[in-house]
Amino acid sequence: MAAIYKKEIRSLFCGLTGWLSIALILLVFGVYTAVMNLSEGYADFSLVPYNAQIIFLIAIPLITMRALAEERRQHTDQLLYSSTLSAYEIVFGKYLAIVTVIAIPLAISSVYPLILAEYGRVTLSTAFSAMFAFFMLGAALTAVGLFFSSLSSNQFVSAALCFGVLLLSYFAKDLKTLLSTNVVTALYFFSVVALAVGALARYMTRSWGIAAIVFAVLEAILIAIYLAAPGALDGSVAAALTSIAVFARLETFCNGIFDIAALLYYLSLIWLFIFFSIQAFEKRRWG
Amino acid sequence: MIEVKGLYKTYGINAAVRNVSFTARKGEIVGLGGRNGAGKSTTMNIIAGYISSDEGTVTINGHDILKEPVEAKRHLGYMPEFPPLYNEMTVYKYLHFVCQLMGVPKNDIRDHLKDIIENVGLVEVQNRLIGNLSKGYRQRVGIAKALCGNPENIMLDEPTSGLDPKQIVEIRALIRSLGKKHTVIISSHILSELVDICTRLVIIDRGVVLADDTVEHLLSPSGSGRVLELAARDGEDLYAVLANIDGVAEVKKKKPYNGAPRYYITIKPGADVAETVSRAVAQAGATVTLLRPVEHSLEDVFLELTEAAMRKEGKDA
Repeated sequence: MAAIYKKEIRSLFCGLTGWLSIALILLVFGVYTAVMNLSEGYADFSLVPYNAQIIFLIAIPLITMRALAEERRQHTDQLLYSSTLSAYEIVFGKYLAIVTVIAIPLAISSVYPLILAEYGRVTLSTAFSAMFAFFMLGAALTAVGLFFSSLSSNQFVSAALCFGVLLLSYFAKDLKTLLSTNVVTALYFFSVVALAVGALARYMTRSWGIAAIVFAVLEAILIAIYLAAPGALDGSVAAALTSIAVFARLETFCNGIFDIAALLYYLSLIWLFIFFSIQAFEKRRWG
Repeated sequence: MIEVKGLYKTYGINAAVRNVSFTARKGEIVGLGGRNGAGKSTTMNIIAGYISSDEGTVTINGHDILKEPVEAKRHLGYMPEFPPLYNEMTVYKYLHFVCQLMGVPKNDIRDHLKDIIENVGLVEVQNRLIGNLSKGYRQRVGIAKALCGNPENIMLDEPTSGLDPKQIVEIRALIRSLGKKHTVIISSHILSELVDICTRLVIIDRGVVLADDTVEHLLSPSGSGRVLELAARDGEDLYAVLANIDGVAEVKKKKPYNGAPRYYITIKPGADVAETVSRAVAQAGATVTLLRPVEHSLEDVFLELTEAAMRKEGKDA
């Protein structure tokens, strides 16, 4: 795994991807620190990571899109498949390398609250817990990005899919207030979700039959719940949107609360999407 | 040793490989021959663990590629048709990376790479970026990649594809030298190349193994021994005369040669009948106008095999 990690780090810095991602994150942190803390005079550094999280919408697709898609396009995955490494070691090695690159600008930006503390009262515990949560958010989103990179041999398709999902996640909290919470809305909403899962099943298995079965089963469960216990669907759209609102969980850290539940949520997301990525990577062998 | 048993692989409704079985023993250079799309690369990719088969097993030095993938892959060096190269890496760094992937101990990598780079002829370009190398050198890097970790078995898919004549000669010589220390499987759609390099051939067409035999045996038209072509004018019919000679396995009448009756005489292995045949023809009052060994090309053998397979499939259908 160390070999994959080192190679991936080298590859990220051989091209523009690594440098650009670091520069973007540093730029956003620099701008928000200058505006919020220096210009506006807020002593709370956690406002910076809270506002800077939008940069992940660009940085994560940018830095993860090549990881597995490019290996597939250039057929260099043949080298990895025929090596003595397992799919887990390959995927996790790549994941760690990307997370390392994300950690670099965050480590640099973590110096800012220390500098600010020299000139005012800065709650360092809140600042660092927010920075840590910001890193964990980045680590979770990296796993999501890596999964989308494993789905296609075209890195731009991977980036577009990743961006779309991150955008939905970013605005999930706002969508929750916009969408009605009634049962009919839930029926429509989850039908769309079932359709999306069916499309993913078609993409993963290349079988319309399996995709149709997946969609039909999900839809049947949904209609059964709608007919038997419609009350269960009441408020379910809001609950579903809350569960995918990955970005929103940073807020509690920025309010000075070290949210263990949010950390577990991030860790679960990392585990789940690395697992999916490994499965998608392995799937090619069976395709 | 590589043992392949009953491989099947289908893509949708298309069968890429059907019941492919063969064994590459220690010290052999086995050639997988066949047309483009015959199933050679699919077979190789299955052996290397790059893709899975629907049915069948692959064992490399006794290790099943699915049950013990790490051990099996440790004993196999594979160069796919398009060598998996990172253009942004130098030759040395790439090979160093491959050594790490193949589990070569850190302290041994430097000496190991020195040997490989010298053997494959990459000394001059070892510090150049792979992206800037010519096709021939890229192919050499691919072969060097297959040698990393010093595996007992080497598998090269179309190793001379796209090379100029000089490079082809060099790569063939390199493969021959590899055959002295390793079990080698190479694939090519250029059958004469396989005859030149290999000790044994596995002919594949439309996913099916049509022949698995030594080169000498395959090139012998009857499959049982050498064949002499004889044409003789005047005299009596020679069929019975020739068939009664000791050492002759079979006699076939062919179309006349310059008006003289012509025969194909299959000689039993180890027998030498040229003189006896000449005498017998003279005693029968005939004059020899042609006496020569029949040279059979692998292309002829391939066409015969594929036509026979198609006729058989037609009958079965």
